[in-house]
Amino acid sequence: MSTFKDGDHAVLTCHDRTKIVQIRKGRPIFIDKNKIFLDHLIDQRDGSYFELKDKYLCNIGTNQAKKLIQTEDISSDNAGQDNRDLCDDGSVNQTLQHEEIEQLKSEGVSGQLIISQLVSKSATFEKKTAFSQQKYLNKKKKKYILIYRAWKPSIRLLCQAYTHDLQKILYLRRDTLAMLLSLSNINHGSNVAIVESCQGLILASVIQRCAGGNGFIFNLTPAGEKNSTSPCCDFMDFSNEYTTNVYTIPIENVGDLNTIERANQAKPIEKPTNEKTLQALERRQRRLDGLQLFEKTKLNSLIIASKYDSLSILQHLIDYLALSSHFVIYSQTVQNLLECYQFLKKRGGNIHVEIADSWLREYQILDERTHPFIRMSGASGYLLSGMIVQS
Amino acid sequence: MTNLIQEGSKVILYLGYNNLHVIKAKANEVYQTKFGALKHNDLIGKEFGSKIICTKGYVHALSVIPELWTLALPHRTQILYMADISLILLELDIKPGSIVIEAGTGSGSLSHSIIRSLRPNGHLYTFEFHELRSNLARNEFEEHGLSQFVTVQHRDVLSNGFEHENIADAVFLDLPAPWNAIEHVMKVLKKTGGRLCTFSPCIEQVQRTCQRLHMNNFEEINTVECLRRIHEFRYQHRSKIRFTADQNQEEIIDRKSNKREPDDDDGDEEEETTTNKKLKNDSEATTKRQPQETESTLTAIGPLVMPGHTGYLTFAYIKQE
Repeated sequence: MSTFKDGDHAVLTCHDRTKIVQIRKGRPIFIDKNKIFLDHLIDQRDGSYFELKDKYLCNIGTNQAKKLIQTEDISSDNAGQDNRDLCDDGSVNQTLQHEEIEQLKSEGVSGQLIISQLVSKSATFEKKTAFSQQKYLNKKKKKYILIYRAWKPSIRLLCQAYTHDLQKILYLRRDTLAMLLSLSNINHGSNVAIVESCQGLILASVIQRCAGGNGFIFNLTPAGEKNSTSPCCDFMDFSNEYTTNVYTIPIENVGDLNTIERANQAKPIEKPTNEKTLQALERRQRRLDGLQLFEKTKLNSLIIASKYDSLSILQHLIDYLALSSHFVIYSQTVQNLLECYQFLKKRGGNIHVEIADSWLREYQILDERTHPFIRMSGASGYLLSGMIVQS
Repeated sequence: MTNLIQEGSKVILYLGYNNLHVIKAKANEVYQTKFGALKHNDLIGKEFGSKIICTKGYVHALSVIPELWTLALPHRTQILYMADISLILLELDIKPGSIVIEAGTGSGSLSHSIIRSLRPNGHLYTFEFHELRSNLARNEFEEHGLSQFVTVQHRDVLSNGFEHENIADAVFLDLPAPWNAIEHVMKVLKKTGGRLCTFSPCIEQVQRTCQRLHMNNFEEINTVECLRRIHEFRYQHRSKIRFTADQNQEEIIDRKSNKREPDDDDGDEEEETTTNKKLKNDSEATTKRQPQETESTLTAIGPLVMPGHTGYLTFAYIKQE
């Protein structure tokens, strides 16, 4: 059973909010400007419940937590039949003032108590229908009962955490990511090249699916910098075994056979005096090794989901693909992909080329109240996918 | 896994978009395609992805990868397609090492994708209550070299459960009455937590499943529907309206630049438009304007008719102990 250790990452969920954090003894994180310490997460199990007590998240039992966050069941005895008697005539409905609530909160009054006060001071609560009362209570629970759950990070949870920050991952929705992974036929042993600007979400997914197989994973970034793709890879806390075959290489130098020679000539300026320069040299060597390896490797999959021009990247990398290999290009707009399609058709040697988008609809499933969610994401972006064959 | 076609290899022949055939390479045999005869001997020893010449054309020989298999497999039941399959894999956190339970096996469309994701150290236990179907699926896994990653069992899980206990990281149910399997699911899922997914085409099934899940303290229950729209590539040619106002403008420019004699008066506007067609053929000025008259752009348009519904996917965590 996996437990949290000092230095691990965790995904905190609270109602429909999700946040990725790193657990470090004595180091606070911030949620809504509140300082919170995560010391008590250490040694707790994946999926445990926590309550905020005096700046610390403290473990509480599953049953206790579930009782607190359980959705309310309300009988219709104390409820109105419909909304004919409810009218918004401008008079004050809720007499409990915002300042009073803040006062209660600062006194450490429990969320449950605040909610019961809100109910008793609401002029209309009893006239609402049972369904409406339930909805009201659930809404208040979301606001006043803060029970957190800590999870070991997974690709699914990272997608969830980014749903309110989609611009950071080029608006790549989870179903689109899922299909991108299928269409690129990533599996244990694949040689994969990835060009992405999605905080490393795609790279992390690929690393997980390859799980340290015999294949190589090439992460092509401008100047071979890792920063653009490190967030999600860090969140996943991969073991070394998973990442030894991952090479981050400078995309600009791909196909330029002189690069390595030039680098070797420039080498003599060696002065491994302190640790920092030593590390920098190591990183540089790793980049060069990766670049050399890349030139020799036939790729099984190419994934492009970049903020840079996809067409020129595709043109540059397509010859590295082996026979019966797969390519997938993600773009938020279809126009970029049409350019790539035109290039592919002209070049030949590829089949099963498709452009597709998708539609993901979530449902509220409740007795007599089942319907799709009122809001849904309407833009999944587009995937261009295909296979390389003999022309 | 070798990348060469050998005697006995399963090969997917790609004849064209959505025209795939599955054959088994056997020396000296001949297979008839719409592009003429294909000699199996031409396949053997070739790399997957090669172009194979037939008597009246060519095909491409591809290996059995899950997405193509889904399109080419012999249907014994309704099958799951790529969009749902992908979402299931992601939402069930299936990764190398996962132990996964599937019921029923059906035609094995999802199974192939699950196996790809859990290799090399995970395992799929798949159950099917129809004996013939389960045998056929078992043979296919064998032929595709996947046997070590999957156990196919002929078993009615609704009445007999999953046989195993406390082993699964994820369970997938595609059964007519998944709610009746929930108690069995609770036994087979790891007590420390695991994910469940059910697939049902009808909303009433989803409702009954969710009720049962709530009763059994499953958590974070959510239901989604996912559809993939494959767009069509099309050059769109758009002819432009020739606005007379613009034409006058152009004529003035033409006159100036060509220094042509002013044959026509400004008053002849109406006649000008009616005799447009004639003019188009012989007048120099109009040939110059030609490129402006139609514009062609490559576009992608959504399908006119597409599958509008496959099924609802419901995901949940089992309550941890």
